[in-house]
Formats: sequence, structure tokens, C-alpha cells
Amino acid sequence: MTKDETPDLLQGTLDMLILKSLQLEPMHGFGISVRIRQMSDEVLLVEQGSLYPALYRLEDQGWIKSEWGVSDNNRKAKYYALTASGRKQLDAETANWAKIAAAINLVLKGA
Amino acid sequence: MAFTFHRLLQPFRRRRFEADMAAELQTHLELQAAANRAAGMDADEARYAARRQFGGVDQVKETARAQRGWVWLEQTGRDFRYALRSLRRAPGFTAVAGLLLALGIGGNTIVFSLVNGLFLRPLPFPGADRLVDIDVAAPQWNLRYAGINYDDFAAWREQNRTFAGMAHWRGSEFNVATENRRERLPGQRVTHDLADVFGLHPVLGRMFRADEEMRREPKVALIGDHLWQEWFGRDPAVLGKTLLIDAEAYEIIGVLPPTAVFPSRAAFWIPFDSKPGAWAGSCIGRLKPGVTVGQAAADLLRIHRGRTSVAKENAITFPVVQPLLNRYLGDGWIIAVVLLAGVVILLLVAGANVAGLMLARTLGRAPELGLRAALGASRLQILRQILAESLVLTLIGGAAGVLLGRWLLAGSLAFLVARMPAWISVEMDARVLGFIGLLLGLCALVAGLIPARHLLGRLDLRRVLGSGLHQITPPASRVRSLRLLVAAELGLATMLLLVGGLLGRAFVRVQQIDPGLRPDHLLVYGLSLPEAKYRGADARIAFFQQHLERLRALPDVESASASTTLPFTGTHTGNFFEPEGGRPGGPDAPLPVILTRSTFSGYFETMGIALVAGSPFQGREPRGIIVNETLARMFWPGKNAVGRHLRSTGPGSPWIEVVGVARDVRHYGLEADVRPGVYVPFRFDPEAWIGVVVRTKGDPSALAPTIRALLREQDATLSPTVMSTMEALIRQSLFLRRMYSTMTATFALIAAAMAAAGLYGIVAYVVGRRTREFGIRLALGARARDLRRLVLRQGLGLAAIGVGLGLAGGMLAAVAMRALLLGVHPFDPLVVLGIAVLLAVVVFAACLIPARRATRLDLVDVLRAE
Repeated sequence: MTKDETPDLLQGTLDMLILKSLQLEPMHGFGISVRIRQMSDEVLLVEQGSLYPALYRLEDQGWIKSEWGVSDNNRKAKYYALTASGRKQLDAETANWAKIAAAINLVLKGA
Repeated sequence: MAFTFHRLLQPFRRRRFEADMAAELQTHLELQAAANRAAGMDADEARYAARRQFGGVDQVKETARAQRGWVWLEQTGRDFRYALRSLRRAPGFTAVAGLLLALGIGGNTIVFSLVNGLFLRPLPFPGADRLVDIDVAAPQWNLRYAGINYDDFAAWREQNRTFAGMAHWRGSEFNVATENRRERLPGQRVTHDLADVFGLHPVLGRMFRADEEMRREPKVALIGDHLWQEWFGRDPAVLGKTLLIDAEAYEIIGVLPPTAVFPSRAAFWIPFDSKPGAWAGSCIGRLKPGVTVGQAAADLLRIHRGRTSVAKENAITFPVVQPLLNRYLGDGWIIAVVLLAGVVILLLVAGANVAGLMLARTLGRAPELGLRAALGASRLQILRQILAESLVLTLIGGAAGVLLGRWLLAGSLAFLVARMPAWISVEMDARVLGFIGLLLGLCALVAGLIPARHLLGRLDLRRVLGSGLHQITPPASRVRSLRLLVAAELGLATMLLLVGGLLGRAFVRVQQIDPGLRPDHLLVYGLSLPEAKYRGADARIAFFQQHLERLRALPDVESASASTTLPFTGTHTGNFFEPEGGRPGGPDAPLPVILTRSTFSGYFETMGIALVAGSPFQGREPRGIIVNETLARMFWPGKNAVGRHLRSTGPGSPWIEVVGVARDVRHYGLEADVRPGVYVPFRFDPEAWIGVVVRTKGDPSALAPTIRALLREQDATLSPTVMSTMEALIRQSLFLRRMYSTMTATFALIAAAMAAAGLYGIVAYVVGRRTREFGIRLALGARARDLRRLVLRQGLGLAAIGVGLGLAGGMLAAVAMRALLLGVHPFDPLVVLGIAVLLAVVVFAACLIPARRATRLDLVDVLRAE
């Protein structure tokens, strides 16, 4: 996948994807971008310019919390984890997304 | 909640946040590099690839930082600190701009503090908006305010339906004494409810009771706060002590609070007492809630006219009710508007200059700011930077201005306080601070937005990189802005000059008005005999005669005399007279009140009042009556008044022969109207107080100690009051006009200087920009003279527009303030000519100096400066 074909991710959608990627276990910023890439089958490449601001924003809103830890290759890294309210937010956004996607599909399928 | 707490602390945890973020991003890069190596790249390539994939680290940091809510706060703080630094690095600019602003703000502080203290602050009494002044108007007697008659007042007080309270007082001067002090002080005779109406309570003791009014006994008094402090040292045991007022013993029964200063600075209050049938004093009322002034006036009129059977004057007079301050400030508001407008114009001119300076300076920094823009600063950020600088500059200049203004005000307060109403307080209250704050805000906006508007349109990399790419002449819009500013300045300054010049001319004209007497070498003082010691007319006449004879014996005295109610003292005594054969116009014609003075012989010679017919009073027992020209014209138009008769209206008055007609004297002031008046020999109306006038050979004030000693020889308890020279009295009567004329002229001259500086600035700037062009032109054979003429023409064209508009505006303003100009025409040729000459000189100099400098350039230098 070349960069030109990467679809643009809206801010809200990126937030949702970050929350989802943290659902299983806490992860640092690099790991989150890798995970999103893997989970989307190499379609979605998150730019660092949007990733870190999004992470800080989510942290400000209280949906994820951060903690310094050590990464696999013995580097100090900041790990992010979902909070209780973050889980709730993820559920809400997922439901919302499904609704919107269904609606758009309906429009595209019709006349 | 945790996250809001977290957010609130962020501004203080900035360094930690930065460190964290740097570490985090660094880790990311390393992890990415490790992943790249795992994918097969070698170490270096992996690192570079990681960096490329990441994108700009600093950009990411910036965006991340922007997520934090408090970035704008940090940035604003940084802007202010930077603004301070850069202003410090340009001390010349800061000093000049600061000085301009300080002058403008300082002037506004002074004027607005005064206007606030006089007009805007409420009086220090509870419910002061319901307090009204009550007086009686008598248009038939030519009197706007006739004073109050006690019987009328009593009827109003008793029968009204619209007032919550009403009180009456009369002010006077008394000889006050205790065992160890004597002084002549102002005091008031008041009705018992005055304190209630004002809403005041005595600090000690009690107020008068209703039964103490209009009775001679018991003699009780309330002393004012100032007297309590000065004479009794705030002794709480002052109640019961005795105060000698006009040689009669009064018991002190109370002390007034410090706010009891309205309307004059009375030292004490004593119960009301007046001669029957007299019209004098003032009356104040407190309206019931919801009652309008009109309703109250109608109510009083009903009562007033209801008394016509016992007081037939009530048929032609009527009560006048108006808000309290109106009575005492009246037409002063025109002066206030003129001064305030003048000082605001001054600030506008100063502000325009500062905006021009800021424009030049900001444009000089265009390369630096362009670099910032290239590095990613948004327009908003650059605008904020410029505004921060203008705000800091304005605050510095404004603070200096406020300090300057308050200092000047405090300095002149001692001088002003005697001439200002007693209740005025010029302290800095919320209103003054709010006004100054508003002005500062406007200044900051104007000084910041004008350069910003120019700059933001022109930030690009070319200017940063190549100063040689500068256009040869500055862009048209920038010069247009500068021209607009300078034209506006010149216009405003011209307007102010015109108004100031006209006021000055009016002031000169007032001073040239003939007062009707010869004021030079004339010493004037009051002399009052306490009734207790000098009972009866003969005692008083004898005393005064003796005093005058002793005065005339002094070597330095040319002549001496005395009279009641001297001119230029603000006093008035009125009576009604009618001529033999009836008034022209019949019995229903207006009967103006006639100024009546009782004089000793030699009065006219001493005062230098000429007689146009007949002869003045002579000898010890003069006869007849002397009238002034206005009265003679009124009663016997076109005929000689001497030899005719008139008498005081009222039963049984004898006919008196007119023995002389005196020149009109401007008794009520140089600007005021002259009333018909008479002079009667003293013995026909022997008052207990007179004004003595002494014409000296040398300096009149040098005689003062001699006269005091002389008086003390006659009676050790007496001392003269208000000793002054006639010239000083006339000068004092012009105080208000002198003050506002001088202030306006000062503002005008400062504004003109600023506008001249502004014009010089823009011409120098434009010429400076065209240096290369001029150099080339000169090399190609142009004459220096032609280039100078070119510059001059442009400058003059600009000045002409500004001055033209200014003159038009000034004339409109002059028409609006006609009342102050005393008949000086708004287009008075002398004033306009003077202003034109002044401005022409100034404009020529401002244009010519830079022009000459430009054409004296050495060509080689110019070309070398490429």
C-alpha cells in the first residue's frame, strides 16, 4: 500500500480506532500505529502527526490514561490504557459508526 | 474529576510535559528504526527511514502542544515578555511614543477627574437624586432667583403633598470667638429640619428642635467637623461649651458630620431667624418617591398663589424647583464639554502619532516577522505579537500619563479648592478608572491594528531574503495610511487651535470691558460691627465716620470711602423704587429690582466712578439720591434725570431728589448684565457691615498691616475681612473663564506641536525612501530646487486638506459654543489669520527641512549604499 492510497482518517474516527486498539491491552504510541495497521490489513497508516495529538487529546478527556513503562527492547516508553469511561466511549462510538456506515451504504445502494 | 485537575495544572507543568513528549517521540523513532532493521535495512538507513516516516518531529510537537488547552496563555505571556524586551531595545521609540501617550492620557485624567467630581458623582447624601433646590423666580422684577420669604416657606412646608421634607437656610459671615481664638467665619442660619432633609445625623448631640426656629432664645448652635477639629481638637466633651457668635453666647448642642458641606463650607449652624418680609437664602426639599419635579413645582405654586391675599407679590412670582446640582452647576456643562472634547482631541492626535511611529517601526521589522511567518507562525500569532507590543506601550504611556495627571491635579488642588464647590471630590473612582481604561484600550487597538493591517498583507519570503528587492518607493497603501493619519492630525489640531484662539480672543475682549471704575491702586476690605456692641444707627455711623477720617489722615492714602454691597464681590441688595409721575409703560410694566447701595461721601471719587450728570455726595450729611445710567434710561428715557424725584415703593416713603447720574458699573461681573441701581447716603440705610475702599498713592496691599493696626486701635475685637485689591477681585471674577481658556489653548498648542512632528515624520520618511530616486535624478541633471519643490508641494497638499477640514470643523464647534464666545465671530479674521500664519510656518518647516536634506546628498554615497 503506497501512501497515496491511504484514505484520510477523520479525527473522530481516529479516536475510535485508537480506543479499539487499546481494548485488549495497554500499548505505547508506536505499538498503537503498528496495531492499527495490522488490524486494518495494512490499509490504514496512521501519521505520527495525527497520532500523538490524538493520544494527548484522548488523555485530556479522560478516556485513556498513561504510564511510563519499559518496552520489549528495553526502552522507556509511555504506555496508554483504556479507562472505564473510555470503554463506554468506545462502545458508544462503535454503535454510532455502525449506524452511519449503514446509512451511507443505503444511500449509495439506492438510486 | 481527574482530567480537569490535570488540565488546570498543565500550565505549571510545562517543562515536564515537554520532557515527556520528547522522550516519547524519541522512543517511537527508535522502535521504528528497530522495526526497519528487522525488515532488512542497515542501521543508518533504518534511522533515516524512521525519521522520514515519522515526519517533522517539531511539527508533531507543535500540533501536540496545540492540543493542550493552555497554549494560548503561554504564548500570550511570551508575547508580552518579548514585547517588553523589544521595547527596551528601542529606548528612543519607547520614550517618544510613551511621552505622546502620557501627555494625552494625563490631560484626559485631569479633565475627566474634574468633570466627574463636579457633574457625575452623586452627592454624598442618601437618596441624593430626590433632593431638589427650591427658589422663587420673579421675571417682573428681572430676577431669575429672588430668594425665599420665610412665611412662604412655612406655608409650603406645612401644606405640601409632594415633599418628604423641606428646609430653608441663609448663609452669612459672623465674628466667632472663644476665650483664646477669634476669627470671621461663614455660618448658616437653618431651619430645624435641614439635617433630616439631607439625611444627615449629628455625630454628637442633637439637631435643632422645631420650637427653636425663628426664636431668639435659647441660643444654640451646631458646629461643623472642621471647626470641631481646629478649635476643640475633637474633644468629645464639647457639648455645652460656649461659642461667641457676633458677640452673643451660643451653647454648642451638637457636632455635624464631615459630609455636611453643602453648599458652602459653613463652620456652624444656628437656628433660623430673619427679618419679616425679607427675601433671601436658599431652600432645599426632598421629593417623595415617585414624585416628579414638575408635580412638585405645581404643588408649591398652588400654595404660593394661595397666599396672594396676605402677600400680593405672590401673584407675580412663582416657585422654581430643579434638581439640586442643576442650580449650582447650571451652564457649566458647556465648559465641561468643551474641555473634555479638547482633551480627547489631544489624545487622538497623540494616538495618531503613535500609530504612525508604530507603523514605521513594525515595517522596519518586516524581515524578522516574515521569517517568523516562514517558520510557521500563523497570522493570528503575528497579529497577537504586534498587539501585545502596542498594549505594553500603551500601558507604559498610560501609567505615566495617569501619574502625571494626578500629580498636576494634586498640585493645583490647593489653588482650586477655594474656588470649587465644597462638595467636589476629585479622587480616582471607578468611573475615572473606567474612562481611562477605555481610552487606553482604544489607543492600543488603533496603535496596533494600523501597522498590523499593513504588515500582514506583505509577509513573504522575498522580503526576508533580499533587502535589495525593496521597491524604490514605498507601497502606495502604506503611504496613504500615513498621509491619512497626518491629515487627520493636522485637521484636529487646527480645529483645536481655532477654538482655543477664539476663546482666547473672547477672554481678551472680556478683560477689555470697562468695569465702570478705576481699579488700580484700590484696596478693598469688609468691616462688620457686631450688633450687640453697636446698637443703633448712630453708633455705627459714628464708628465708620471715625474710621474713614483716620484712614484719610494716613500719608499714603489719596482718598477713602465706604459703601454697602461693593461691586465684584458677588453681593446684591435689592429694593423697589418708582419715579415721580409713574413708570413709563404704566403700573403693569415690569418692575425690575434695583440694586441699592448706601455710601459715604467721597465714594465716587475714591472708586473712580465718573458722574455723567450732577455731582457726587459731599460732606457729612449729603442729600438726595444718585442713580446709574441704566436706571436713568429706564425711568426717564431721553431726558436729564437730575432734579427729578423717585421714592421707594411702599407706604409713606418720601420723594427723594436725584442729584447725580453715575456711570454704569459692572457690579455683577464683567460679563454679566448691568442692573438699574441707586446710591443713597449711608445714614438713610445704616447697615452694620460695609465695604471700605481706599485709594492709595503707592502699592495698595502694602497698606494692609497699617489698616489692621488702625482698626484694632479703634476696637480691639475687630479685624477687617476679605482684604484685597480691586484689581485682584476683578481678576478673581474671571477665574473660570481664564481657566478654561488657558487649558484649551494649552491643549491646542500641544496638539499642534504633535501634528507638526507627525507631518515632519511622514515627509522625512517618504523622502528617506526616495533617496535613491533623488540621487539618480540629480545625477541626470535635475535641479535641487525642483526636487525640493516637489517634496514641498506634496507636503503642502496634505497640510491644506487637513487644515481646511480642521477650520471647517472648528467653525462648526465655535457656532455650537457661541454662548461662551461673547460675540466673537466664529470666523474672526484676527484669530484665523494668526492660526494660518502659525500653521504655515510650521508646515513649511516640517516639509522643507527633510527636503533640503534630501537634495544635499552626495551622489556617490547614495549609489554606494546599494
